[in-house]
Amino acid sequence: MNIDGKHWTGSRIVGLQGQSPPPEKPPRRWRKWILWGGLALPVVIFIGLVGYGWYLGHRHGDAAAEVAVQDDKGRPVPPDKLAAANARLQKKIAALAPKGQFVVIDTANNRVYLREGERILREMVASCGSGNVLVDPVGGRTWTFDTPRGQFQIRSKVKDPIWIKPDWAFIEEGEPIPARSSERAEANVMGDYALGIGSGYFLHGTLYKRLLGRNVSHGCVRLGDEDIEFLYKTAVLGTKVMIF
Amino acid sequence: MRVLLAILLALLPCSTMAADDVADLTQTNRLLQAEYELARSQHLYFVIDLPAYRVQFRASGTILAELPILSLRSWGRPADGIAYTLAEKTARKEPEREQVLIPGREPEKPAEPVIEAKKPAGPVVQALEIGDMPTDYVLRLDDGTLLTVHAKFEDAGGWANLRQKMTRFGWFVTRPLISVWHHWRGNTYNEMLLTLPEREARMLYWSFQKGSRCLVRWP
Repeated sequence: MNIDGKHWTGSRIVGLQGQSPPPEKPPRRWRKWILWGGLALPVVIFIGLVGYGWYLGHRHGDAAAEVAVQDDKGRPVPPDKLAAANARLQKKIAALAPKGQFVVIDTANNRVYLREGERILREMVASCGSGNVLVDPVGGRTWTFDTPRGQFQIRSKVKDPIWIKPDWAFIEEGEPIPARSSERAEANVMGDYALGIGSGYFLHGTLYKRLLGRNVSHGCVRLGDEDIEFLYKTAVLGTKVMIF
Repeated sequence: MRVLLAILLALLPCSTMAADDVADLTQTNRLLQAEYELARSQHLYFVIDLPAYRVQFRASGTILAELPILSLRSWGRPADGIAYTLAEKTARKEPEREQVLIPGREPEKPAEPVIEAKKPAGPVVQALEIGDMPTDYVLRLDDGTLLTVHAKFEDAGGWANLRQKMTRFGWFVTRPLISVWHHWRGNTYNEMLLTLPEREARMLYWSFQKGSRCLVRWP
């Protein structure tokens, strides 16, 4: 009889005979620990990895800055000499800045500034390059209408400029490229004044004044009538032009 | 003995301060040397001054423009006083240049009905402008250092703020794991997370061209 007071059935008694006993399960307490351990292990590994990563990300400290500047003989430069060297370097860098007036062109905001040192003498609204791409369907040539970035200088000053249309101007209009150069000349499209900065780029007037402040040009910098006249009269040949 | 101890304790902050000063002078010296070379080169260059929370566009030592950094998180510490080169710019949605349509060669398109309400107020311009630049992007310098730029929108609502906070939290959780991964591969991982105002973030993407040189003053 079992503990419930019921009788064993014969088949069950027979079934147990001649067989190996069932494998022993670990005690309940251990099973609990194994279960929790299995669950906790990935969490511990994750926390460990994050901790190790934090250590790696912050272990450098100021080590890079602490490596001393050395003189010609490989000896560390003392702090007072280092401070003096820094002052000298600052002076040398300041000496490279343009002397007198210079032009700064902000292509992102379509602004032109005439500056003298830190002082802004005049702020002007402009139209810079559109950034569009023109592909010649016949020759496969490609033009990107960006205003070039970098440092330039005013190389030429022209009153009543005549535009010598480049190939792209004809391709863009769907017109054939003329064989004679005299057929490329077009007056009254660049305003009353133009200032050349090299490589075919100019600061000039425009017929499309309502588009000033937008990026619509083919790379030149278009300005309003008063502004280009002011710049023509103020900026001398050799004036630095910084475009960003 | 007590007097000696007192003197030592009094000197301790001075020596720490002096060490900090030397480190600062050293870092400044390296940056100035690198800037002098860049300023002589006639190229534009960028100075990312992280302790001062600003990005400057410079040429020949002259500051052309300055952008404020609203917040900054750093991971790792790259070398000081090096003129880095911008190797790559990546954004979820890269700005695309439009191709000029030549009269008589336009591709045929089905006529679209013009809806009056959708007409823009200003003139329609086919151009790549600052508004087309992304606000969230990653700048990879030539040594592998990443500058992750996020924009802060002035009129951001609650969801945008929550999203930004979640992104920042995710950044702090994932950076250690990325660091470990790079360490196992024998590399170091350095990243800066910069938050700029919306227009300034777009302007940095616009102006900071691939191949441009930059100096970074690390915090």
